[in-house]
Amino acid sequence: MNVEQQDAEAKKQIYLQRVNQLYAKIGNWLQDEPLILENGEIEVIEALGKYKAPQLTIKTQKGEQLAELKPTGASVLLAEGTIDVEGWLDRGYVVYMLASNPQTFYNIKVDGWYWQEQRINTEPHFLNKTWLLQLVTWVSDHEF
Amino acid sequence: MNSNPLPPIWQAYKTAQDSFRIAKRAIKTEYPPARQRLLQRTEMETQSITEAECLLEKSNKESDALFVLALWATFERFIRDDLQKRGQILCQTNPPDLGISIYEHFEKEVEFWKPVEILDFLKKRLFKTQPDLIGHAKQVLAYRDWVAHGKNPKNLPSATQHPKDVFNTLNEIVEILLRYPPSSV
Repeated sequence: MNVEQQDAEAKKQIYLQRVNQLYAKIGNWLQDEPLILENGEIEVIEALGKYKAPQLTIKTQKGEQLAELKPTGASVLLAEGTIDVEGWLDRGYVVYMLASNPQTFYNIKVDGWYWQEQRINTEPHFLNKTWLLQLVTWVSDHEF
Repeated sequence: MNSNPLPPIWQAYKTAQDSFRIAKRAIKTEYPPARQRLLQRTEMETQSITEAECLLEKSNKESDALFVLALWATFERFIRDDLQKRGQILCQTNPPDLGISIYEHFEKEVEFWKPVEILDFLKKRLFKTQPDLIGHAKQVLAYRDWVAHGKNPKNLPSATQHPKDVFNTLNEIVEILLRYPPSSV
């Protein structure tokens, strides 16, 4: 493995670790909600190569699918990784951003996963239970 | 005076996105007369919900890619126009004949400059304190090229692009150029 491949592999592993950390948090946030979480796997095809990543599906207790979290890669403009959140109605983007990133537009104070709403003049929302539920509503019209 | 041509492209994209949301709600409408009223004289009228959803999803993804293409094309036109206008200073030399000839040649040649070369010379001085901004614009350009050349799956772009980040990146460059004196060229 040359240096470039080692760098790509390290980047990929950090990304997958962050994805898993997010899923663990989501499990905690939603444990008291009437929702079911299902784990799966998805193939990511991106500039770093082709690899498997964990997928998370959020369903109601009646089995209605609200949102699927699908990792799409570590290589993304202005961030360190991205996950598509897909519902029947729309798709949202969750991105991993660093406070230290020398980028111009967003006020990022803490490293972590943010919901990047596709609206101008809206700062990314640091993902917590409240913002996650709002994101699920955005992609599914399901009101909590 | 130049103005920023990118916000109308963003607005058109957002309107298309809202339209997809409305269409998806329409195909899921359960009350048959309302559904028929909403879908009449459209391609989706006779399709099953699954077929219509699938078409809308494909169309939505295509819209994202085409948005980047349109935004880049508009950005590139703005930059070339801006450079040509700034070059008119050559016509103010005294005596003017040589300056005007140089300007006429320059004005034609700007149309053939490679976008990456333009970004490179902007980065050298005007954007020397924001080299990342130009780096990000190059990533947008690579994505634009990938879309424009048929989305070759064997040669993926270096980064995924989300529409708002693409807009913010190119918009920031345009705004800096608009503020750079003489700002009303």
